[in-house]
Amino acid sequence: MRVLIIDDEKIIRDATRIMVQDAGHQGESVGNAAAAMEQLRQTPFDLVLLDVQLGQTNGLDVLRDVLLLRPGVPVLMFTAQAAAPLAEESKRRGAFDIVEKPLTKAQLESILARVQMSPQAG
Amino acid sequence: MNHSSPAATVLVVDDQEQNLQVIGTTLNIMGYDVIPALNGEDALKRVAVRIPDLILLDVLMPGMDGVEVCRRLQAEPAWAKIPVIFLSASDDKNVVVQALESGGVDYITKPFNKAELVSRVRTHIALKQARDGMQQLAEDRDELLGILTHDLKNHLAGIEMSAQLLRDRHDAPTGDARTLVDNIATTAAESLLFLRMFLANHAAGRSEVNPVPCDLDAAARAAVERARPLANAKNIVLSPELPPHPLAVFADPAALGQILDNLISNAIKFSPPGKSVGVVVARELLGAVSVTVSDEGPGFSVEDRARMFRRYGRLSARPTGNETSTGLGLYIVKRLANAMKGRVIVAPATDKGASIRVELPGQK
Repeated sequence: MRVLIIDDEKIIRDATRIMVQDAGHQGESVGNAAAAMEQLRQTPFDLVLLDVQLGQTNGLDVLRDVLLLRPGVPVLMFTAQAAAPLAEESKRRGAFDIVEKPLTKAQLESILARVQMSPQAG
Repeated sequence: MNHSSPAATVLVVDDQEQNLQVIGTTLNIMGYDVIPALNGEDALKRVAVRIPDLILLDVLMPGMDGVEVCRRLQAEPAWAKIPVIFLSASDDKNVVVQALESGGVDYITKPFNKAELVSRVRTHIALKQARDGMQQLAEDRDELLGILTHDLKNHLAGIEMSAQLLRDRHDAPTGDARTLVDNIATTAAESLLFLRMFLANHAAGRSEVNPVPCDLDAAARAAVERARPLANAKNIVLSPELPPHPLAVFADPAALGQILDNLISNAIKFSPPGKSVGVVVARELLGAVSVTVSDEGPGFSVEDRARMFRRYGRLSARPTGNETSTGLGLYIVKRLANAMKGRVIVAPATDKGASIRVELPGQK
């Protein structure tokens, strides 16, 4: 699977990309919304991992842009602070799921499996 | 007055035009902005347009009287904090008490002394400004804390992830290098846990709970599942006893989840490996429902009982598997339970471990 990681923190971006690669998939990472849209325009991805708080940009706005550009792509939001209202709002706006950082290997594997099973994938 | 801040605004409500003029002129001279109103209805309209710093309110007026105006102000959260000083010709103590009970901060009898009027107005405006300043400070502090903890959490999460990835790779470090990586991962994880607890405590302190009807048994089942990895790692058996039918509770779902997580993780933490942790959901008297979490650990000593619900109050027992204890877990449980009109009951000391029951209102 091709996975795009969008996070403004380099340490999270790198670690998540390596985790995806260690799990046997192709991971690419970008640090802002503009770079993410550029990547998505060029290449289709099977899964997008998106930080809820992308510096000054609201991840929910990026979620909207991603889904407009690539309707149906599963977007997993991750956040430093899990809050129930935010989780509901993300799902309402079409996010695949939301998880609290740090993303663990087990979590990533279960998400990748769910994406592969999901009719949205591809 | 502090001349660097904008002039304070006083709404003066009196059905006698002459009184409005005298009070208006007196306060104007002292540098206050004065908004006049001739009756109660008019006063409320004025407040809706602009919130004054203080209200001078005549008690006896045709139509809506001062006491009623004050009650309506109190009923509106945005208006309830405006200090109201009553004005009345009546010296009747019953009227005074009634007026003050409706939410007034002070009372002046007519005919009033100008110096006294000005002095009371000045005092109550200064008090209000001090209260507003405190509230602003508290809000600034919360915002700063939020930013700090958010950024810290993000960085710590990155450190923990990186260290764990390094540890799990095929070319993972060994020997002393491995010890160093382990230390980084463990310290990051412990700091994250502390931050999480700190944030939960902060939320509990501000009683940000919105109780809604939800299923206690479903919440307990979910919490048991969340705790399973932790229990399995210590070879602890989680044995939930849940009712066959949904048991409604009136609680904030997030706060309820936090209470259950704290109780269950505590029980696992203080249990010797191989023992079991019980989670029992039951119906109580008077429409209440409860969840009881018990373990087979050392239980609570007499000293523990005195400080178990204190903030950062670590108890005599130590975690049995090198886990971290922030000393915030039970404190948060109590605060959240109380905020939801519930209570926390600690079973009497026995040699069979600790048992804590949280009772919450059943569905309304």
